[in-house]
Amino acid sequence: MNFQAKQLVVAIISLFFLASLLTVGYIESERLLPEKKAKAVVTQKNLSCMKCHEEKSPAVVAQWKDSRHATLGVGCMDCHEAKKGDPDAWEHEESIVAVIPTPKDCARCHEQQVKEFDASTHARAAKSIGELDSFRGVAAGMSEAIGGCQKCHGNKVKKLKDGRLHPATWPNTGIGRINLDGSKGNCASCHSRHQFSVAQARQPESCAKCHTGIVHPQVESYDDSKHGLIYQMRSGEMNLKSQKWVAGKDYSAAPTCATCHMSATKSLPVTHDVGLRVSRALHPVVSTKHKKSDRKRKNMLSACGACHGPDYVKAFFSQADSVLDSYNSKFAAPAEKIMAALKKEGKITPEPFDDKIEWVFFELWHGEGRNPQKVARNFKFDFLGEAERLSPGISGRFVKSQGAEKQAQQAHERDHTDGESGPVTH
Amino acid sequence: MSSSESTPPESTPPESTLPQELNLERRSAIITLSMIAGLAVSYGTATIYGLRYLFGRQSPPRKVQVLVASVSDVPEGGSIVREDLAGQKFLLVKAGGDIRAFSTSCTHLGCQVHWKPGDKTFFCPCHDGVFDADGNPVSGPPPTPLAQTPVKIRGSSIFVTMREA
Amino acid sequence: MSEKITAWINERIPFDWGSLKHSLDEPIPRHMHKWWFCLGGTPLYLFMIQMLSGIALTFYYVPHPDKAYESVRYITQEAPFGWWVRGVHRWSGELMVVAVILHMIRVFFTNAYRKPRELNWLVGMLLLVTIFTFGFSGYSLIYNQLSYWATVVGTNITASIPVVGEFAAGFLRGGPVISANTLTRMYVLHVGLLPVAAVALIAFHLFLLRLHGVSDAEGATEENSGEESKRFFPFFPDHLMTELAIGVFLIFLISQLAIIFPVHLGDPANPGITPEHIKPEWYFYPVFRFLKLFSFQTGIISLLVIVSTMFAWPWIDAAIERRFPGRDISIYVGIAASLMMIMLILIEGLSGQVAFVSLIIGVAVFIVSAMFILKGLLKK
Repeated sequence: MNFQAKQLVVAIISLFFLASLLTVGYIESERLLPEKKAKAVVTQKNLSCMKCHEEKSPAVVAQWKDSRHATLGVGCMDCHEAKKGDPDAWEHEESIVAVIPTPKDCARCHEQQVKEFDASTHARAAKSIGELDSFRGVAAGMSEAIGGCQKCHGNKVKKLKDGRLHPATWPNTGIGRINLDGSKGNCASCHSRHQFSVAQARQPESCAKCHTGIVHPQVESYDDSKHGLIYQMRSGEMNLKSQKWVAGKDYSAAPTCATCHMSATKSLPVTHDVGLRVSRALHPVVSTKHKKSDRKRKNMLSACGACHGPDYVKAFFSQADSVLDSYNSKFAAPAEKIMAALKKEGKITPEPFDDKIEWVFFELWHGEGRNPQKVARNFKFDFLGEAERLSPGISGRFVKSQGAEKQAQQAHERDHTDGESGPVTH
Repeated sequence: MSSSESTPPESTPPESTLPQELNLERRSAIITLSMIAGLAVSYGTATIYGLRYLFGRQSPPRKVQVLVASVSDVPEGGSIVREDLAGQKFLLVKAGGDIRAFSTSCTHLGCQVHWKPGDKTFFCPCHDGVFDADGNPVSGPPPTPLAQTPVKIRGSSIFVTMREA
Repeated sequence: MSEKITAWINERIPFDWGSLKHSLDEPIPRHMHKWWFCLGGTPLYLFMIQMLSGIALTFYYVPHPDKAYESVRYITQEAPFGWWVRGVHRWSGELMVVAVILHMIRVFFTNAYRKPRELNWLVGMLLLVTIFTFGFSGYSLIYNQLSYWATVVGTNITASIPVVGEFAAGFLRGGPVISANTLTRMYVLHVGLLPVAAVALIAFHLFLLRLHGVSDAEGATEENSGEESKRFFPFFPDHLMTELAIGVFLIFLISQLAIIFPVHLGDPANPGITPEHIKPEWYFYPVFRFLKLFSFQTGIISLLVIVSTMFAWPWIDAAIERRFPGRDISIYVGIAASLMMIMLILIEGLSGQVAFVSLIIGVAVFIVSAMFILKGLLKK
């Protein structure tokens, strides 16, 4: 190969080399393009926790690293720190920690949310089931209650003599848990630890952990409804990670529980008081209106307004109200009065759930109460049948005649519709 | 008459005027030039990459908000020292109701300043520089105000903006 | 103007520049036109790439067990073009081993180690050992699982060398067990001692080469090669151009390899867990495999014998030539040895049935090469 040819070879290969370098440059620029996720910041305070727990509980640390807390340097001790003498203080590896961060701890930064939560029925969840007969009777025993009802409603956390948590009261992540420091509630019920993701809390699955089942089938109702179905079909388009999450503005695919009951609307701010927009109390036998029900109904209408027109919404709620009124007047109120009378007449004992009719009555307004056909059938045959057996003639005293009933129904329809009435669903 | 006529010298074509030779020479020059150009551009690019590698990332790291203390940690009218992610110290001062974060680096020659709760001033011991509660220099050599970083209070927790590590 | 500059320099550095230029302008034998003969310049060029890329890496690398892996991670994932610099360093190293082995094979099969060039062969062998040590020490610096456990195995093998083993292993480890000292030592070896040794050895290697001249192709004489001007060609600019072409081709190849086969990090070193499959770098496979075939002691001693034989080959070959003149016994031994190495590498590198098949082939090859050697011995 002569000299010139060699030079040509060098020239050509150097162009190949240049092409390779340009590829390198392209790869390098692509590497830099995607905006890097904010790094977890481990402050001095939390360093010693990390060193051990990265090995002992790696998933906890990994979840935390994925959290927004981590990008702000909010780490282990910022939530778990306790002072000597605190009711939930525990000496652990040369530090004093609280195993369970309570809303009081979260309030160090999330004051507003904790205040709102404290005013809500969620915070009272543990107390409320303690007051119900069903808790003691239906649960069939304390262990069942601890492993069942209390898991959602929360219980009262107790300590053993040596300072460790009482195994009958912990673990428990019920939303109304009464903590050692006296605060009520558990933020991690909805914002699962340790990622505490807002995106996750916005999804109906978070609420479904508790708002489900025979006793209160909210999520089943939602899942079968139009709202729930379109959520399932379009769950990928919900823009869950966005800071601001107003229906109609930041997303419009479908509503979740949070959309209507908590999240910011056009006119309302976000709230952790889930009762602010709920005008009806459905848990008593005869459902009632909450205090300030008009205000609360109006609040709910503000949420619906993102997707539905005002007439649509008003008509829908009147249909819903009429179902409640009908159920109350046809089944709930008479049944309640009959039970009171039976008790007064001594036909049933004061002890809850030891008479057959008490179970039949429970089914009427608990799980079965969701299904009007079942209610109608059970009321007429099972309940009234049993009531007649115990106290013949009792149904005549409390149950309105067919005619009177029909009149009441027609009057109601006149007031609430333009004459058309049909099956009402959620 | 003497003939000064002389036979004209044999005309030989001067070197490198023959068309082929010219082209050959030009061709070899082009080849040499393109070789040098190729080498320069390719090795030059490699050198630039190497230099960029050595100089490291030039864009300043991102700013992040970091939890540094509780409101109750800072005594009223007093200060506490905290460190940022690069290990630099800064002061959290609670005076007149709000909490502010100041750099401890004196703007004169970089000594560490202290907060004097009684006088409500920052004092630099090196050359007796004094700054007021807003960080403005009031006496001594410091020329410019103390650097401040934004503070955000959430609930009872103090977050300070700082450069990522 | 340039005369003034030259005069200025000559007054202050009174050196015989002329004779230096003349000695550098060594005539290169014609056969060097063949690219096969440029395998000596290749490792030199690659060594320079290694120096540059290696120095670049030292800007970010931290040689402490707690920080090493993280610093390598920083280079690979965050430093601008760090992944490429690391890739160039790794691939250039791999190619260097290949080039050096090919060069050694070329020198061997052209009998270029024979008198009076035995000393240069020794220098070359020392360079080979140096480069293998470069590879071993460099790989241990990453401080991932493979690094750590390869160091453990390597120092244990060293320790089992009779007489000097424990001493040598203790020196490598910086103590009775692997510790932070070990990593620091590997770093000092890789970045300090070995480069100095390599530069000195390379300089000596080139010096001897220049003194003797590149060995002529066998059989070439003044009569059958033509006149002087055709037998040799100038180093500058002709051979330099060849080297330049090779150089730019190599860096292109290395850059591509760095892109197509980027270097990975692996898992950080965990002294508590030995990974299931530890393998050294491919050029250590023959040793690795060889030691598995025999008892440990036998293996180590036979290895030492083989390495000593390689060092002493010029004299062994001279003795063989005296006994069996003109039979090219060396060539056959070289063929057998090369094939054995390749077999060992394949068997170690491939798995299961492929290894079994290679084993069969290897045994067959061994028998065939043994026959060649015998034939050589019996040739008239």
